[in-house]
Amino acid sequence: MIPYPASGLKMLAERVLGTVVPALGSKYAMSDTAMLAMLVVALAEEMESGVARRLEDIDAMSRLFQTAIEAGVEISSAEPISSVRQTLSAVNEIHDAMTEQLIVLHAQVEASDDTIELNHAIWKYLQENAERHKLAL
Amino acid sequence: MTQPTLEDVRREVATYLAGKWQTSVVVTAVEQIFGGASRETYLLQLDVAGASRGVVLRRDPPSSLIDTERSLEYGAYAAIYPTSIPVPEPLFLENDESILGGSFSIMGEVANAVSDVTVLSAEGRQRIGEQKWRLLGDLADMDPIQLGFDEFCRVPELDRCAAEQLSYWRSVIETDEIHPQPVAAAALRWLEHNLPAPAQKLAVVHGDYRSGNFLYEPEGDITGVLDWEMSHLGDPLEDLAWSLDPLWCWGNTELAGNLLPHDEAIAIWERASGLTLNRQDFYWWRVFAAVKGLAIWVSSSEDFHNGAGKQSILAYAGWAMTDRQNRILLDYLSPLSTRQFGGPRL
Repeated sequence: MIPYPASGLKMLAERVLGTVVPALGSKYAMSDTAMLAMLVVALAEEMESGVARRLEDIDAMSRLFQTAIEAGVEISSAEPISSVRQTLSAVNEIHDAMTEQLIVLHAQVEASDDTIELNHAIWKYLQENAERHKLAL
Repeated sequence: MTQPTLEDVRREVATYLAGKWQTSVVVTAVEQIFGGASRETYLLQLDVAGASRGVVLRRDPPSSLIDTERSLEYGAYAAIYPTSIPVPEPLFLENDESILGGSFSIMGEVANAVSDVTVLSAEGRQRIGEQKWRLLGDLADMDPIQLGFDEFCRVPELDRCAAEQLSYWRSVIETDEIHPQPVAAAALRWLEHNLPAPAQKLAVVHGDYRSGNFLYEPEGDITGVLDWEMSHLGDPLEDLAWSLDPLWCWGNTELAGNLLPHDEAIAIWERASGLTLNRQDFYWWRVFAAVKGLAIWVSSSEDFHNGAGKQSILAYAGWAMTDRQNRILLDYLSPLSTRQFGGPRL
């Protein structure tokens, strides 16, 4: 069998919620275990879509940096994504590095009237990022 | 003892209370209460020389969502207990960690009370909502020095209340963030550049005054304001802003704390406190409340990943609450915001 980890985790979480939780003796254990099962469902989602969401973020941040360069804003260049293995932890690493750079860029552009459009583009990215990563918990 | 079992709690508390009260104490029932992310909380039923009573034990866990000292929380309960603000009766504070593997406090149980406001009828929401913001206004009206808070809390200058709180929570985010937080960074910059006017007065700030942190009788009144572990002295607008954060609406953004329309809650607070709200300063405190929330959730995530705390509530808070608080801040600060959270406006 080639396992499908995300759906496997969701099925296990459903089983915990459906059969294990009702059989537990204390209210504390029931609430704690139910929350653990919900977190497993969220982790399954992350396993399924986490890399894709981060790659979308990385693409969007690359475009923002390009716009900044074209507008004459000085930024250091980001590491190219093509060299990165596309596991979640590897993508996380470059995502974090680019986000650090975005924070610096945002502080730069919000301080100037000449870069209002870029400032708005960064806010737009932050909103889209939040929606992309929105949890159903 | 690192993590006491329920049997440990039953045995040690019976021995401890028998020694304190110099009479026979039998613990007839003990259960751990879920959701106390800052402290482990246990409800115990006792037989004290033939009479029944309930007590609540709060124990410092190895890692907590809110890193504060047990003595501060106990001091706040002891100072507030004689006032018109209902709180559980503080009984004992014990810092000897050999008894239960961490310092602990024991309070009287607030019997026949619940904390979930989502089960209230419309009439119940109105009644409890009015009491909630009246009590908060009453707290703002009190003299914190007369209450004795200066014995265990720092007394800030009126013009430093906002800056000191901002500095503290900024350091929590910077120290504990596992991933960079671009929304928090933007909000911190905004707060730094737009500090409010000095506090109108110095007040006791509860620090976590929200729906879920008080007990009420289903057909009656609020009977216990809980969770004073983040209490401090400061600007009373801080508590009002925290109480109105959309996070505590539980999905019903039209009603502050899922109880009352925002403007009504503010009007009740103003009448009770005798203070008038300056909208611009209050906007700052609303943004600050969302940043403080974010700091707590970032910190809980760090505790879960790197600390000793592996409670599911830490992981939940660190993930789901961070997500929601980020969207609240975007709603407040982004020039492209559509104000979906019914947030403050200048």
